[in-house]
Amino acid sequence: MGDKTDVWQGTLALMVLKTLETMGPLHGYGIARRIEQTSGDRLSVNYGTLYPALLKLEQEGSIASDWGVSDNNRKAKYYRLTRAGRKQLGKETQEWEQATDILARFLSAKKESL
Amino acid sequence: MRTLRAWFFRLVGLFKRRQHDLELAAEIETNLQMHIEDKVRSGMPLAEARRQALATFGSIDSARESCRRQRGLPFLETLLQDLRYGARALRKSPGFTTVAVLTLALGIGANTAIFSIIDAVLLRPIPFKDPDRLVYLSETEAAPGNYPLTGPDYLDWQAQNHTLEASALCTWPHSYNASGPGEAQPVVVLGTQANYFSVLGVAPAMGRVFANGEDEEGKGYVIVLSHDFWIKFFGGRADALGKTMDLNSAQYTVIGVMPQWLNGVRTDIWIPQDMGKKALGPRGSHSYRAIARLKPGVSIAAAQADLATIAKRLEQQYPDANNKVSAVVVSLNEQIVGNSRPQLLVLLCAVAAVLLVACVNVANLLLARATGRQREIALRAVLGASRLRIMRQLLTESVMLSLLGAALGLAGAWWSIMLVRSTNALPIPKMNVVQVDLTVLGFTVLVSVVVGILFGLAPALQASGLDLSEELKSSAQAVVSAVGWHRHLRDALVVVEIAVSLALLTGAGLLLRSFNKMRQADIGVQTQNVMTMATILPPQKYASPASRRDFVERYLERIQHIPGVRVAAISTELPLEGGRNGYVSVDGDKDPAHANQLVENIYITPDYFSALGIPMLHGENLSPTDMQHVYEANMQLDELYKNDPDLKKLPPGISFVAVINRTMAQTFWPGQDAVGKIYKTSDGTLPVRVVGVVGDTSVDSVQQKPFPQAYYPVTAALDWPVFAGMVVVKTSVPPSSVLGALRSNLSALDRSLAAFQPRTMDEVVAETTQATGVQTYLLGSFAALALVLAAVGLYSVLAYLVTQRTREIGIRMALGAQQGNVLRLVMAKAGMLTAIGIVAGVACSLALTRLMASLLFGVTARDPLTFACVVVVLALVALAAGYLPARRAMRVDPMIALRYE
Repeated sequence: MGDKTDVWQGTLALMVLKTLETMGPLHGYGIARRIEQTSGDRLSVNYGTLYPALLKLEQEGSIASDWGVSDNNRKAKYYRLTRAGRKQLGKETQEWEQATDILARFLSAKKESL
Repeated sequence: MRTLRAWFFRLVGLFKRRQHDLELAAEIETNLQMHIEDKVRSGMPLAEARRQALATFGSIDSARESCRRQRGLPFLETLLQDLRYGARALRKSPGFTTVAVLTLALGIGANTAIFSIIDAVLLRPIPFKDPDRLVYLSETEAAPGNYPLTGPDYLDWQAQNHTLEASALCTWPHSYNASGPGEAQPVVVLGTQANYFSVLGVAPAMGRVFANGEDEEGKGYVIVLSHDFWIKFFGGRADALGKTMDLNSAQYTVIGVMPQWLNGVRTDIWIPQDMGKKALGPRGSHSYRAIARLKPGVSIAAAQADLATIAKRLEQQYPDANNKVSAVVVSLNEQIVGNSRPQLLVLLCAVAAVLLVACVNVANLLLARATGRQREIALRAVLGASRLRIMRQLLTESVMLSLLGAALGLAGAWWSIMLVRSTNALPIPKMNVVQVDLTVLGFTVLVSVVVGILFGLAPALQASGLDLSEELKSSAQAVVSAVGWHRHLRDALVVVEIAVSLALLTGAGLLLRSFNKMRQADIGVQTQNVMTMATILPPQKYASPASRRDFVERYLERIQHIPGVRVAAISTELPLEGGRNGYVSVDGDKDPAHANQLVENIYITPDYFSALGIPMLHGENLSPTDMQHVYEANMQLDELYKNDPDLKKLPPGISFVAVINRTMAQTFWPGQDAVGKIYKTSDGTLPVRVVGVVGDTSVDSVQQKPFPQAYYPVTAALDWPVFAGMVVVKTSVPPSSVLGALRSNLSALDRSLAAFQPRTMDEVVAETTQATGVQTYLLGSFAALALVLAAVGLYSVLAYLVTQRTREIGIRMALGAQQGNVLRLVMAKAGMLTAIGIVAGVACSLALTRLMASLLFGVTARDPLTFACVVVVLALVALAAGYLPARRAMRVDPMIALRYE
């Protein structure tokens, strides 16, 4: 457990949106598991941060939720991406890519070019 | 946009808290179960799966807590929490809450009521279009003061000025006989130039206003009704337009009805004033007023200068009639409300003082309560509440208290405002309706929040600054003496209360003394058993002086024989009601002061003096011969002036006789016997022989100094355009019991005549002192309120002191202190606080009562008797308030006191 990194502040929302885009409607546990799996089990999702993050996204209108029935017949709350959320995801993905790109250039820069 | 949406949901979240909590719990539960099932499926034993799942999950509580924070608005939630907690705390001590809320309700309610009046009278402008461009025009005279306008002067001003967009002449309100179907009734009529309403910017609610030219001679038989009168006389029916009604026996057609809000001007009917030179009267006859609208951008001072220049020109042109006549321009608003300002401001100061005392009292109560809550507050602090957080909670509580008080006070204020609206007792202009509007509500809420913070601040500061470890270790009893400054604070608050109530009491006392002086003031008249009323002879029906004389004589003859009537007289004026005046000259008198000395002219039948008990000092009363002589002389004068309006010299043999008052005799013939002397009336033509001297009577108000007065036979007034006679009867029975007979005799002579303003002479006097009476009553009530509150404050501080020191008193008594020593201990404290309060209060009063000097009569603002009485009353009340707790201290049983803890 101790060797896993907690999700960085600010990136969780983006991961949730991306997960819902690829997987379709999903419950909280599913989202957490998927994020962990996608990270190759290098990330661990704390529910104390996940639930407030879901709530915030819902309040902002990026995701919506409904109660549904899970594969093993359990009543669960399913989250899905809204149109606003899809737009938001596109925007944030672009921003994030740009940021990592800039950072990558910095980190790979040779001594003389700096 | 997204943030806005989020905030909206968070706001909604506040109200669905429970449902959301449940939903979250269910979600967490299913997710946890899925987690466990996954682990079991992968071969883990159930117990281990559960343990690991819970570990991964992290703290469920912290998830729940952070969700809650994300869901709602923490600031609002804290506020709601504080409100809930405050409400619980207040409910738990109903006694404290009731006293505090009632105290605040009194203070805030009184302030709201007075402020709503100030808002209507002083703050809101008069309800006309562009009110700051409306002005009121009058003239100055040789004598000081503002004088009515003369018609010809006004016409010149109107034609020659460069600063006024428009102006309109109007009369003072006149009483007319209005006869319709039933009995004749008196109505208040205002004569105006045709453009009067357009100058004011008022449109009729129905019909039309006067058209140009309707103020020309013979065309003005149209009238505009007030809303009230339309309801009263025509039952509010729309077909009133075009109907006719008789005013002073002439027929008028209704052309318009004014809107309801204009009822405040207290006029029933507007009629066009005949603007012809003949109708307006000569230069020198000051009997009109005028309003005007300034051209845009023109200041009042500029208009004043403009009109003064014209007046200067007129003075050179007509040196006799216009000697020292200049122009006065004031804002119409100031003309209407200016007089009410000092009385209203004094009232506002008084209610503010009551509120201050109320605040101090509640602060005192809160301080006492905070002491009892010190342990509770310390516990909160230990559990992590910040100092700011605790203050915030305590202030929320006190603002809650004051808002509760405000709500209750508002109800009281609303009730008193309804009372003010329904009566005319409060002598204020009613141009704007007194009401609780947004301004007043805003004022109330602002005052109560400020007040809540003000009286809550001291206890909150004190409570939040406690030394925690000390608090929790020590018992509540011992703590109190440790916080010394706080007891001093309570003492200081009581001193403030006493000082403020003393100042209020002094103000009320001074007014009360003024009022008494006014009531007892010698107006030169014996007012007991005197009934008065007025009647107006319509000029169309009673066109000739002979017909009027006939009416006066026949009516007097009739009412003299009413059972219970001892003496009956008819005059043109009553004491205290003002009247007409003019200048006189005495041949050979070179004193320039006399040329500018106005003399009041009163026209009477001979029994006027005995009906009012005015003493005959020298010489003779007017005789029937004098009545006849003056009647004939006046007829001759009328004839002469009809032929030559600018007549300068009269043929010999035409003269008047008069009885003058003592002041006139002493002014013009100091040290001599005035009887037999001759003087001439203003234009220096008509000789008048003095036949007698009577005592002085008050002309305008009881406050006024004696004024020269000349009484002429009423037969000199019968040629006036309209003859209005005051009927004065001295009775041997209760005066109002003869009113019925006075009325029936009037309609027996002429059914179209109405009895105006039937009043006893005592009521006439009361009317002139009414303003002071109401003021005294209000200020007195506020002072009494403050006194009671201060007494309660002193009582509570001492009672608290005794409770706190029960143990100490018990020990003292066990060691041999007598009851007397204990009594002295408490009373010394009461005495000290009262003494300091009184000294501070007297100093305050000396500074403040000067502000109300203009409202006083017969006493100075530093009247020693009033101050002495007030100090004695206050000291007695304070001692009584102190005695109750002192007696309780005296009865402390040492054994019980020592076992206490």
